[in-house]
Amino acid sequence: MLAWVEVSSIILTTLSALAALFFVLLIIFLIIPFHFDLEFKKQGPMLRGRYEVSWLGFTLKKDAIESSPSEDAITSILRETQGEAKREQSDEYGRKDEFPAKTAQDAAEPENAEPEKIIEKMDGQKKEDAGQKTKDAQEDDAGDKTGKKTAPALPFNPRTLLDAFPAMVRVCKDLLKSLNFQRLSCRLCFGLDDPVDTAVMSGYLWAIVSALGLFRANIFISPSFAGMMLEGDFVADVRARMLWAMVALINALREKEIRTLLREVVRS
Amino acid sequence: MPEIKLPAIETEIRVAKEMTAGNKIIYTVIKVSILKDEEGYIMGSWITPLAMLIIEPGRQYALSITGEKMPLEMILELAPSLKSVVDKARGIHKIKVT
Repeated sequence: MLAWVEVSSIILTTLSALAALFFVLLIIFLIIPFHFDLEFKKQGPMLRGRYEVSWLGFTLKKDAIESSPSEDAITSILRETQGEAKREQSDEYGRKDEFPAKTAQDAAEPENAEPEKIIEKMDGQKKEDAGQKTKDAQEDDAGDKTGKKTAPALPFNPRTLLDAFPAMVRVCKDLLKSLNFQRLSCRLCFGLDDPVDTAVMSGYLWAIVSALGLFRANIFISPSFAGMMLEGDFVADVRARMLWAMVALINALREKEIRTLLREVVRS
Repeated sequence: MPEIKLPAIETEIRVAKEMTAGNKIIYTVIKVSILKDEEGYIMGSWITPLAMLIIEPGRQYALSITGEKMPLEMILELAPSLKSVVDKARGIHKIKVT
């Protein structure tokens, strides 16, 4: 009888020691921050980058990303082929209807590659001749224009997303608390096929930067109105404490709207 | 005392993507203004619509943004690339002779 008591107490002690160890490890995991080192650069068709995840001074994952030129060549050939097919289709359509409809792609080609006119270039109050093109316009290539795209079907009800939006903002804020940016630098030069869309997107991006409180960071967003393009670099050195991320996730799951949204996404 | 430089403003004319309304195709000519600092970084930009080219079956005309009619030549002067649109609408086909 005594032996059983001793054995059970040993088992209990072992189990409690294991549980304590587990909790200590969990606390260490939650409190000691993970270190993310990210670096990406896109220039022309080339994309280069590297990332490193480390914890307690040990590198957990490290990799370099580089888009191979052969892949880019294939992509550009595919894009050109698709563009030609679309152009042929639109020409046929135009001939059938005897109405000179102009596709987005056709329209984008002449207009967006170069500005119609550079009206003026003012340096302060002093006006200069407007004979030069902007740097963006010179560097841009108008070849890779895409046509109109059909919007993909959403895996959830937009109404649910709207309902969940305030809760999602709260979750994002909580998640951001878990991140500590040691270094952040972002230079983005982008352009869409329509200068109006480019301007609107630029406004959205600046609004996001401001909402996230990153306006003091080294962030430059340059819209290019000369056509489709994406260039820039992104460097970030982030420390993420999992404790706040876990708290944010638990808080998110406590929100009814987010649960409904997740359920809809899972069902679809 | 450091020299204070005012930001530079670059302005250019561009044509926005066409809009279709019924059997009309509308091309908007816009003025894009870009505010740059002394290092060339873009500090802000804004766009202003100037005029519209409207293509209807068998008819093409231009309107200024204030709603007044404007000669087609004037909008083509603003945005020369619209000439090809007008030519296409008029059924003019160019054949390249080499």
